Amino acid sequence: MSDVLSGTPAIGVDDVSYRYAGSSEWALRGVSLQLAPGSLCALVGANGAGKSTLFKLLVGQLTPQRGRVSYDGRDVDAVLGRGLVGYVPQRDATSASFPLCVEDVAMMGRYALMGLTRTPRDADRRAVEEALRRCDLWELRRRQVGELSGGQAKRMFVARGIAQGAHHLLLDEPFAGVDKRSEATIAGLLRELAQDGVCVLAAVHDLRMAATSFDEAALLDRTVICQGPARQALSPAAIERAFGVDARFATGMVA
Amino acid sequence: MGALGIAELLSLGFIQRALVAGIAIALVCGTISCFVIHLGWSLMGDAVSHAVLPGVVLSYVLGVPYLFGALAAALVAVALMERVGEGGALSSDTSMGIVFTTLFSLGTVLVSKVPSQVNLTHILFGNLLGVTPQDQTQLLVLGAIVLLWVAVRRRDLALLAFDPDHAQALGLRPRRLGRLLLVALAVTVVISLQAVGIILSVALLVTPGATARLITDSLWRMMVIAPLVAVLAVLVGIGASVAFNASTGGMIGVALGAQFALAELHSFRRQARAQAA
Repeated sequence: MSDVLSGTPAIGVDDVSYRYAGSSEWALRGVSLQLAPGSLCALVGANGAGKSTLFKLLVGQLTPQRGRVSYDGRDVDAVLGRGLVGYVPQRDATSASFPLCVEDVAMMGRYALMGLTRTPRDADRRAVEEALRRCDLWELRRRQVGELSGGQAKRMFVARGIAQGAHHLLLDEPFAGVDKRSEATIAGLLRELAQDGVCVLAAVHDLRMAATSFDEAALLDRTVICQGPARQALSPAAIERAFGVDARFATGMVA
Repeated sequence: MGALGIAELLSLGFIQRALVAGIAIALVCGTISCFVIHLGWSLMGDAVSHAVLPGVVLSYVLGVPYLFGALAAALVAVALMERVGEGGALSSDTSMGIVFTTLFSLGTVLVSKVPSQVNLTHILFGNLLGVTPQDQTQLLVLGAIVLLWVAVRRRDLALLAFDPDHAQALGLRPRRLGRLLLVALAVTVVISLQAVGIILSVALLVTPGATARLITDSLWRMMVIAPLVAVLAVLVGIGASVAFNASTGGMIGVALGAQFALAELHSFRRQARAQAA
């Protein structure tokens, strides 16, 4: 948790503001978020709350007009390229008809560790096998990405992050379009990774999953409304403020 | 054509140059087409090919090889298309449509007003049988550079096409990589003009990749099959154009279309068998 952080945060967002070109409104304003190594944090917010913008800032796709984004105290640009940041996209962010198999995608996690031609070596193949076995995908390694279920596809991207040896894993809606069994499997994998010291930050719109599968939650509405232990951060008052609806409707499932 | 006829034909310098240039062009176009179809850049290829016309005319006026004028115009077109779409108010196909029609129109005006040796028919439909030794050297050098670059960066390009956000997270600078691929596409378009011309250039940039995609589910195998598909179409096109005294570019386009139709048929039959099983 941020208030008990004693060292440098694994993921640090310090007073970050971002406004898109041509827009008069801030997409994010004064956002601060500190996550310790091994954090398992859900980023919760309504559509338009700035979750996607924050993720774009975290992967260096956008540069904040104010504030600083850092990993282990180092600027984003210094960290990207070293393979330390893993990314799990939304399903529809990638083409289902792309002619790649599961093993190809997992191998992409190793690219930052390879030479110019990204030719896999034995160590890369071993890392990919281990990651696919851990995500229960080894038997499906030759399967086309377009033939995977939603849950299998999410696990494939998590496997890519594991093969990568990422210290920080960003996930964009990891439970969207996923059946209940896969939800539990993915939640279990994320918890294991956090226990291994990986800092996990996931954009989650499902409040039940955010409250039950994550240790921490940060509620975002262009700024961080609150951050803390998941069940406390997702209090009815905070949710009502973020989502603009009666918390009973939004959080009936949150104890 | 009898066996003697073929031997005689192959001994002719212009046929030899047509074959060498055609195969080189096919290898480059076939390889890059695997990424063009997955990045949704088919229209971009068509747009760039049309936009090179003013550069071709001006290069004749200035007395420099047409490849350089075409390449300069292609790069200007690519930069303009990116710039016009930057504000976000217009979709990318709209900005492409505006830029390429404007430049192509400028080219046709130049052809009609500027005294030059430009044969519009050759520019529009290609003239593989008219490749000069100088053209051939330029084609081979430019083609080799593009082919080598795409071969070396193929895995990064696959990641760029499949998941650009992850490419960004790995620090691959997808925006810069995409721009470099656009430059490679511009060079490819320019060298393909000699074979199929402005109008049919997109056929060589799209159809080999699309045909290969129907044959295999592996991007890496596609990158072998697509160049072979393109080479076969070019060889058939040259042979048919000599045999029937018809347009070489047109014959190459027809051969590409026929190969695609066969691959589509194969794909349908494979799907039907899979559904029956």
